[in-house]
Amino acid sequence: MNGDPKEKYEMKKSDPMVRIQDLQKSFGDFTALHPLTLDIFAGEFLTFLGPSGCGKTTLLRMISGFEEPTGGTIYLDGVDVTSFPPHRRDVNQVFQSYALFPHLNVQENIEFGLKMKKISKSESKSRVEQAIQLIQLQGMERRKTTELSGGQKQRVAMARAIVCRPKVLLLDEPLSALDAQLRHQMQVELKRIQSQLGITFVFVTHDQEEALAMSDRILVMNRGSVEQIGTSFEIYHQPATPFVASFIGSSNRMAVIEMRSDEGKLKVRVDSGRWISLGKREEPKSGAKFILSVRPEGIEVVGEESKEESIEESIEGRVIQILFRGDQSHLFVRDLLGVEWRIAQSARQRPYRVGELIRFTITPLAAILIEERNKGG
Amino acid sequence: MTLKNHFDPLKCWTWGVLLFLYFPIFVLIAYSFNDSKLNVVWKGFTFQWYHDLWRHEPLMQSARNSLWIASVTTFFSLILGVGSSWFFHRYRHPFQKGLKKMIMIPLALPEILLGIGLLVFFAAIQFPLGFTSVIIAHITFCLPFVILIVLARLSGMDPSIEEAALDLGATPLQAFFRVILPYLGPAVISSALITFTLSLDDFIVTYFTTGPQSQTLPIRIFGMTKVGLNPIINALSTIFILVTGLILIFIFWNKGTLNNRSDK
Repeated sequence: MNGDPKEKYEMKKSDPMVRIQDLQKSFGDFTALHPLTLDIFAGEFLTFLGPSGCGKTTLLRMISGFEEPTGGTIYLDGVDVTSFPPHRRDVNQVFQSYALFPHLNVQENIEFGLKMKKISKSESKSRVEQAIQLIQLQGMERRKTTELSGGQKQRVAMARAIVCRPKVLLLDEPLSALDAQLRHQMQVELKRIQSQLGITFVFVTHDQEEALAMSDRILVMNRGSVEQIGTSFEIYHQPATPFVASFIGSSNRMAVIEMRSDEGKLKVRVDSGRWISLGKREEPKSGAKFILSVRPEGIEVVGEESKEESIEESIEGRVIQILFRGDQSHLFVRDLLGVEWRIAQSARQRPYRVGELIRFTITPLAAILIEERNKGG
Repeated sequence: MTLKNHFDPLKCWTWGVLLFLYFPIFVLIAYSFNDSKLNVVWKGFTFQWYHDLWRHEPLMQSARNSLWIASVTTFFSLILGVGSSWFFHRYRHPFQKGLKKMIMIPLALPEILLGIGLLVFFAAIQFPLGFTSVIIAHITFCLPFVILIVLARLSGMDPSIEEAALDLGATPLQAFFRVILPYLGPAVISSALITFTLSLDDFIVTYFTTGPQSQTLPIRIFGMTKVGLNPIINALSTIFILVTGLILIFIFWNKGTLNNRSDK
């Protein structure tokens, strides 16, 4: 509503909308969530991203109050709500299955929360009208929910939650039941609604593409702990852990066995034995183990014609498979050492054929060194 | 199918079965309009027996008893049944499966055993036999039906519906009455009708648990037939068949909407 999200984010940094402190959850012997501390800022779009069973839904359900934490505290707008039942928390959830009330029509569904909160008739009427307009369901007010399409149900579920003007809107994989086209459309729609309302959105998904497209910040989770928290850009371009690098997008990853720095230029030897130069950069100090990660778009095909003045670093390999993705193609190339590479090729470049021999180089800046952490760390 | 003028053994078989099932009932209905005291010859058409039935005070009194017992039984069976179904569905506990099965046992038990058991029980605690004892007895055999029907409906329910209600600010009680109960609506209607008919029709259990003041219609009819068949009973039975038939049609219709409505 006012200014760009970045600005709001900086402004509100001091007083988070949700503060989660040492929150943890275990079911018997199984630890669903290791102690987690997190601030969610007013007006931001935060996504919990991770594979199924990583604890993201458990975390969301503890914020909504459906799951009781084993330890830790949740503050909502400065108030400790840890022991509050769901109906006393100023948050609303959009459920994966939509959970519309089958005996009520669209309008009655949307009104439900306002009735429970004993909002006056006139106020309720104008709020419902606003929500229906925002969510673009005009003319559907009297429809039974069973007569709606998936996308429409999704909208009703959204409207039902936002008319309550929650401090935080929790969305539990709300788009996963929709087909691809509708999902993309709803992503844009959700962003529009969020920026119009200025409500804090906490979004849960296992779909990294969805997370990258919509979020201000992403919390990447795996096995009940946080792998990384950061903006979409950071998560994609500076993955903090090998898991993040492998889970988000695709990447070529190699274990680093040796490092050498000469004249400020860093070179690493990877597990296949090959030396790869990473350009001018400082050598990481610690004696930890590292992984070299290169995104497919960080590799450039130099073409067979430039063999003569071939760059010292170029690698030769044979195309073994091509994945056409429209805006780009991914080439799977096996080099002479038997290592497989995934290389992105923009649609403009000339198409290669399976079996062709090509040369490629790694753009030094696109190669990232990721410190390998001990599991559970 | 082009089997129109073809002799179809399967069709004959079906008609035979239907005839076997319904012939006695048709005879009964026909004789309720027969202008003769005897059930053997057709003399002419009359409404005489319906008129007499209306005047027959002991039978009318029993009919009122039956309706009262069936209504009260239905009311309490629903409250107890819906409540315990919700409990079974909603809360997980170690004896869940065993308890669920135990609830169903009375369905398979011979009615006479249930009747004797209840009689012994009432005698042991010196409970006077009358309306209350009959109603308690009826509730015991109606309850499993209610639980069975309501549980079936609950098993098809999206559990998020209750959470959604809580999330929107409803207390657990409000969530039950405003969301769960309306969802159960068709199942509640079905089980009410089944309970009502079961209670209205019951003879054996009632026979053991009733007192002189609380004779139900089936008990009274049985008593009357011992001293000879009265055409009034044909008239009464016809009315019974009509009422039960209507209720059954409604149950089937309701079941149809029940299935149509299951959206998930």
